[in-house]
Amino acid sequence: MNEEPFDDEKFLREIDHLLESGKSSKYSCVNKLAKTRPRMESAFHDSLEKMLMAQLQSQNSAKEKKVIQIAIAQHPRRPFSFSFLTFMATLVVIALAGQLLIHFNQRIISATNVQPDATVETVKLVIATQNISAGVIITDEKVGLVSLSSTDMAEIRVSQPNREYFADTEAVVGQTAAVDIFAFTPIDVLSLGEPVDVCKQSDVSCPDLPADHFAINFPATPSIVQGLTAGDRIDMLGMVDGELEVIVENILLADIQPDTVVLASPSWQLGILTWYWQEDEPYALRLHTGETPEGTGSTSIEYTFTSPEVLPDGYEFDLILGLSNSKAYLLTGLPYPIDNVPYTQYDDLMQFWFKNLEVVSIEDGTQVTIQLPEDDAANLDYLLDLQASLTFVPDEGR
Amino acid sequence: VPKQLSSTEERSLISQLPEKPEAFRELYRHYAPLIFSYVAYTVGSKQDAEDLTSEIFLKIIQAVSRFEYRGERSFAVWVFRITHNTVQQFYRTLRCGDMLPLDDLPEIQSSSLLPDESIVRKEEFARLHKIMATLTPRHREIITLRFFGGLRNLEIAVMLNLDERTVASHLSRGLRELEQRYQQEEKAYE
Repeated sequence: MNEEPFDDEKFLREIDHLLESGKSSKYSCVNKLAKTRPRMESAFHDSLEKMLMAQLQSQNSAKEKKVIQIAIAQHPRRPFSFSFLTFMATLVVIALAGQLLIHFNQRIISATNVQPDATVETVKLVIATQNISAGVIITDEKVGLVSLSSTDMAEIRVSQPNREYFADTEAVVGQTAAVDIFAFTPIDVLSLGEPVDVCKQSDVSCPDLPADHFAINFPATPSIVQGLTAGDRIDMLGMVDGELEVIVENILLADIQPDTVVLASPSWQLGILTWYWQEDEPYALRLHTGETPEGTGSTSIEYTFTSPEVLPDGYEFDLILGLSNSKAYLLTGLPYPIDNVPYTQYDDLMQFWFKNLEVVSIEDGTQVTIQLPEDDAANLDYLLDLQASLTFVPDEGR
Repeated sequence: VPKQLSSTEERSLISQLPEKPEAFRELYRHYAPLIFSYVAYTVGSKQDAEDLTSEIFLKIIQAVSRFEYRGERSFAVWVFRITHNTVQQFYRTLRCGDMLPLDDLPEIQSSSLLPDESIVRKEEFARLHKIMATLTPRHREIITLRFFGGLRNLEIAVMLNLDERTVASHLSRGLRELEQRYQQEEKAYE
């Protein structure tokens, strides 16, 4: 219960009045708080609105294109399918076409053969209706037309205005795919022509990797890597349980090939990437902009936790924290880098070996106090919050 | 200023989703300024706030077909739950209390701001943001949701799985602590 219920109520009424009618409070700080409401800049507000509307429209138009869905259902999927992401890619592409329309004022429209449909104010765009491998000749059943709102297209913020698209399937049929073209991806001039050699999964020695980094190849469309260059630190976004999530942060974009990206990371992040690769879900990349938290050095602290099993007095151990692969994306919230903690993968379990610890006390068999570096303690705490499994391994070396 | 929506309007718009994207536009115009304001006050930096707002809305449109209307303001609670979770994930990696460079701060809402006044308000924002970072996460969360997310105590309670009285108590205590620390800093400054 509140110590001063009357004052509290009065104070809270004051807050309500302040927020609803702008009536000042006698508390200066509260008044100032109400007057420092951050404002969304209108350019950002509008561009986000356009992007979201285009995204929704592209989702809905995809739903209506039953013929496309049937085509997809009739063809076995490649190891990767980008059904969701290609919608996002479509969105980006819509944006690109939009800027083309505005920037070059019809000139580009004729150059790219994208024709506006006067009756419904839409433009038509040729997309792949199924995955098309590099080197394959494009046939009628592999492509289709979608209609997109020309208004939204023309106003969307864009980042790469040099793409040229097709408005007529006949312009594409009979040509060879130069790169792997994924279902629902708009076909552009650059994706046609002679296929190019790529850095294969087994050929991860292509790029120079930093020490302790391992590489994995992901298929990629040009739109996935637009604005990125080899050497960038990036984040990967993907779908987990139907939600868009950051899968892994601050990894190295080691190399970009025409239809592949080589991603490199320490082994524990590679575990997440491998899991996501196997999930066969779409993904997106963005430049990593967050600060990397710095370690606190060698400061050791005591940390107490409850053991799920009864431990004998004087027991010396290493701790293994196990986290299932499906929760691995939550490791983006780790308070400190965990690269220095040994890592192994066991079936679908990521295992972090906390070996750099001293047992301080074990009370009642389950209240365990250990001493370990502050960074490790914070990471351990975070993993336990995620309900990571706890395994005690006797440390016979001590 | 967020576009105001009555509960009847909001319900009608929600019922048209996801088939009618135009309905989403109205919802966006209502919620975007609130979400941005809440996110910006939480993370401090304009760039981060914009990135997170985009990420939040992408999540919203991906999940909106699964939203179930459960009475007035249930959409607001749902939207802010997504917002809260997204920001929490980001916020864990931030170091609280760092003073933000002036250039990185978001613009502050006002009907007419002279350039000098804009800087003063930004500095005030930075100062309050720094003091807010010294509050407990629960107090900070509830104050930010009430002041910038536009949620009432009951809605915050539903969102955070708390009792409404608990929310009111946190809000009151948090604000008084904020006031106290603000005054202390003011005295030290003088």
